[in-house]
Amino acid sequence: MAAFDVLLACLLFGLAARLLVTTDLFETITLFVSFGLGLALVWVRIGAIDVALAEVALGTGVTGALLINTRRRLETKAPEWLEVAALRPAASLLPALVGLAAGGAALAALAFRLRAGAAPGFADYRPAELPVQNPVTAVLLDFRAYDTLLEIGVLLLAVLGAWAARGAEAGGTLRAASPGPLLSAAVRLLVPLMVVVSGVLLWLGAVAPGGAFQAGTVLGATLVLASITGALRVPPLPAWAARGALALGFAVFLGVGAGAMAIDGEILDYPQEYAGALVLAIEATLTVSIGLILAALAGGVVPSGGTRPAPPEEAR
Amino acid sequence: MIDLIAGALIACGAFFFFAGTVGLLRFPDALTRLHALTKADTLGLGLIVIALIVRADSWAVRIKLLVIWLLVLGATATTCHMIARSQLDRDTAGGQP
Repeated sequence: MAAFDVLLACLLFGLAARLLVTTDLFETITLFVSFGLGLALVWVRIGAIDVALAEVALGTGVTGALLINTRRRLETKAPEWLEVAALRPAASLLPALVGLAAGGAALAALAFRLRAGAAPGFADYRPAELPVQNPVTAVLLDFRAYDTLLEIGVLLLAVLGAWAARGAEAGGTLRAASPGPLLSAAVRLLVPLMVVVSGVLLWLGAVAPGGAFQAGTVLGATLVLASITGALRVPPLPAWAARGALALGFAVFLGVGAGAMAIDGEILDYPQEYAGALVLAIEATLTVSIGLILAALAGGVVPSGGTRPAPPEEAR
Repeated sequence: MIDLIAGALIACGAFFFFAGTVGLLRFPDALTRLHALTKADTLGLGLIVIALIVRADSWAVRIKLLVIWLLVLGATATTCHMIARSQLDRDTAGGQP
């Protein structure tokens, strides 16, 4: 296997070098995606399956789709689309609240770390106390929970930023011109399967590689696939429900963390006997929110102004 | 014996992937490239999955491998169809006034 590792390393260095010197935008994106896939193989080789899954799903899949989408917009439209859409008072209320909550969480996390003197080392984190058996999930949701909490906050702010920049109603940018019967049939078959896979990944996260980020990515991909092909018509959610669902994961995470602080005096320090259930509850809501956030980032799937993207035009 | 069979199957599968890659690089247009690539993918992956099934320890793993193969088959066929369709649209739009 050493030969394979050396070959893989050479391949990655070659791709990285090419990536840096090439000037063609499309080639750059292709190389970036190839590099991500190679990097995921490296993570598998060193036994970090969780990281490999995240690399493939988020670093390569979602980011690749975003980059391709951006490239198309840059080519077909003049740069005016970057103009910041005028914010309406109602539309800016939620971002303001989320901003306040995120700021509060950041301050609380900071205060927690300052008061503790230094963050406790992982050596002090005894495996007997793990709320779930999978150490990666335990670190993400318990040991370094405030990192994950703030990451979700960043994701949420990214969506709000994207909405502010392009206008929330300008969604549905990723759209198949003519899905065709084969794609529609494939999507009909795949969507239920993908929802099940998402649930399995979420559940497996407690004992094996998987968890909210992977499950959420699969869910987001499902939403994008269903939306761009128009094969499945999701009933339009009212704007407040769609926005609420986007923020749900962050809100539940923050709520549980704050609740733990009220009981125990330390933020995100879950009571021992409920830790497993609390982690599962947080992960389940995070999955939904991450899925919606990624779908909203990729193609404006989530309606925000009471309207939803029009169904794609029929085949010519 | 099992290792020998699996090794031969993997070698055959790798050959088809190699042939498909050569086709992708050497053929002149999108449709012929697709032709080379999808045949290679389907057959090459099929052979490798059979090799892994032969080597697998349990039925749970074998069934998972089979399901993965079926999913990839479906995804490849659909993607191939979409690329071919888009190329066809482009050709007819460009070729006729």
